[in-house]
Amino acid sequence: MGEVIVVTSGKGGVGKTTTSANIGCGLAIAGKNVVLIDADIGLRNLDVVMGLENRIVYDLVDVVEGKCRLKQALIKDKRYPTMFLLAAAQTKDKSAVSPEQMMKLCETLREEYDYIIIDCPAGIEQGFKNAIAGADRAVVVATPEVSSVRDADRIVGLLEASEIKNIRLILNRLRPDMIRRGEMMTIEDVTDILAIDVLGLVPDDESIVVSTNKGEPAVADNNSRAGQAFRNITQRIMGNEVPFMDLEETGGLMNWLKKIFRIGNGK
Amino acid sequence: MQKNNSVIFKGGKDGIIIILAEDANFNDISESLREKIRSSSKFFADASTTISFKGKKLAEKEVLSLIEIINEETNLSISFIEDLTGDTDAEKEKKQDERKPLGSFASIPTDGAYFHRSGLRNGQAISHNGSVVILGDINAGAEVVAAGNVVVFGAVRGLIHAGASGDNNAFVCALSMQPIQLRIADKITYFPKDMLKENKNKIDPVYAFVKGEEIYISPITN
Repeated sequence: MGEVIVVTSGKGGVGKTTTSANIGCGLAIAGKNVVLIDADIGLRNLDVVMGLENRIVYDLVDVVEGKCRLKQALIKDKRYPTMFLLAAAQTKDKSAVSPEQMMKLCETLREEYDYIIIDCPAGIEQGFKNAIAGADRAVVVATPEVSSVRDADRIVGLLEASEIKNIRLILNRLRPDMIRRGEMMTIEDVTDILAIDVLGLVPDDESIVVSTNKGEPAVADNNSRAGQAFRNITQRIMGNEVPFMDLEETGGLMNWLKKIFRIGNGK
Repeated sequence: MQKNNSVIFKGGKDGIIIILAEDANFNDISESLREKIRSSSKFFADASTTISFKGKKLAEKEVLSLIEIINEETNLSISFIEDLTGDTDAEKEKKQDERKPLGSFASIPTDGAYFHRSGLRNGQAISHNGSVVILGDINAGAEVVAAGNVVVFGAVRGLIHAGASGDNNAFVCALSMQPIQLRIADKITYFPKDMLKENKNKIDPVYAFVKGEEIYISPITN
């Protein structure tokens, strides 16, 4: 029996889709059978981040409406043969799917796949309710900003109220230099407020922008620090203990020189 | 019959006025009130309104028991209660000026405290017609509105309103006090940003109370 994991945040733009794509690819690289579901109907992005936009024929709404078979709508990623994407419809809205339909879909998928990752839309309305309906556990993505943490807190409350017990936090876009200067919330500041276990710490990394635009998740890039963070997260999702990476590594003159050297080498 | 005339309803310009006969005893008044409400349900539509009492002077307990009756018999949401009984005109005017919102409560503190066995997250709210004890943090965006006292075994970052039905004796007590705003009865105070930063993550039990027109915060050890 597979596990259904919803990736959510409340606030928009904190990295839900990027996280979903990276966790999905990470699990596929580790040999797991994975389905990624984009639950953001009307504002789909996961297909773009995955670089699979041109392959969409049927989508989530077609499946729940019975216009196609489930297998027809699952887009196989050629780079990772054990990973499939179920894209969102772009011309419909959130009300096109009901929580009951999502639950049924998750039940069907979990019989055949190890992990079902659901990319939740921002907000706490119908789209959110659909996305969490069939989930066993939740990954809450937040950035170390007050507004993001506030929204994450709201989301955790709603998840708890929906009887989702396993809720873990990914703290995204950390800037160790800013934390050191006292300009950014520390990891403790955030965990004191949210009081949930940390699944992963992802440093702010320019390479994410590049990989997202290219449609190649950073988790597959061995030179990307954010990619390393997502590889660790993938291991933790599979139940393996991995120490948290040293975020400080990005700072300091030596590292700065190393970075330049690495970029120079790449060219 | 004497009994039936012991309570008279009047629609005033901002609410319902209940006139109580001077010579009736309290039992007759409460019975008559219940009877009259039942026979004139249209008068009491589902609205938010102010209830005023006039005529016979009542003890606070007696006012509460009449309010109880109104609550039981109608869907009325009572937003204000005014006791105009036995007042001179000057006093009435003064009272009208100071009338206090009841929050979401239709009657005044009961003795039973509400115990909440976890914290409150953003968007979660508790309102209770008595005191509230919370075992956990109250995060920013959460709300506790209590007619009585509020005791928090945790950090306060959200909004607390103690003594919400106007009780100036209500207090708020917490292991760490970092709310954006704090209310007791009709007093409101806010915490300056730099003060919040100092309090951050520190266990420093304090309690907040009203003295005169202000809310004071004091260490619990004093």
